[in-house]
Amino acid sequence: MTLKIVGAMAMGAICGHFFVDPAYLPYFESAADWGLRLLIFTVGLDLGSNENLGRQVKTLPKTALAIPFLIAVGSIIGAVGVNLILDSHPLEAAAVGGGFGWYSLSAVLIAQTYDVTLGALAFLTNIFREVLAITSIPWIAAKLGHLPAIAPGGATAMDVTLPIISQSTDQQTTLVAFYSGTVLTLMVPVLVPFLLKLARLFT
Amino acid sequence: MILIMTALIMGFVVGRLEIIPTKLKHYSGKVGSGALLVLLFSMGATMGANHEVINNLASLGLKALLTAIGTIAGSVLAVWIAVQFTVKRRQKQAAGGQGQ
Repeated sequence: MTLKIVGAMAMGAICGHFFVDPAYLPYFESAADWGLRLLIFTVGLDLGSNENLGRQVKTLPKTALAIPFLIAVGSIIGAVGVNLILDSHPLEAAAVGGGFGWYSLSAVLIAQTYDVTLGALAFLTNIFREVLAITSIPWIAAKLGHLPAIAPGGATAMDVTLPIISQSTDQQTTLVAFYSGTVLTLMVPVLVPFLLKLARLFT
Repeated sequence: MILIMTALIMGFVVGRLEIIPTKLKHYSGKVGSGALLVLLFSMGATMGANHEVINNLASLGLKALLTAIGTIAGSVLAVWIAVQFTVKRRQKQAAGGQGQ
């Protein structure tokens, strides 16, 4: 599955870069949007046709509720850790990591209120996070278990990475992923400006 | 975000009401995989054509890649540790229950 995923994205990127006239890009964007909606619809369809869903959810550990907060803390610590080694500002790194994969919003928030270059870094970092999440989720689900496979996607576990989580894990994990992605999505617009404020205080 | 919620809830309701015949349901996985490939290809195309991404790759690419790997590793590790912790505690409780 990982191979198919990487192949489709790589082919898209090559076509997009070399062959596609920019005038046609909106069509690709709406194809992506409708593909995503159709996918999420089939995820909902599978969840709805499962009559044992309620019982399966009860078998989940209580930790499941804490997952978005664990993902938030882990993401920020990971981003800060890497940037301490790279010798760059740890609080700026925290703000970049606090995008949780939502590249459009985190980049705009940072570029408009803080610094354009840091905004570009947030854009790239969170795009990479999304791409790496899409490619690594099947592998993480197989090696480390179903619940850790929710983590790479961050905020995107409620949309772009949800179908991949759904295909690589089971239905109760898919529900937790949607919950976790929603909580993280709501966190980004509050957390990123807060971390930027801290970064400004300590420069 | 509202459209995503609507799509999920609509799918859930249709699945619960059992409107779709079992024969067709068989295809839902195939439709899903097809839609996934369309989505990934189109996402790749919009990224490949995005000059902001391509232009910044040389100067910021490595730092962004390492930071992205850091966020993924940190978050996966945090969830994994928490799961190990609860699984172990459950096993202990189960063992204690048997002892009584």
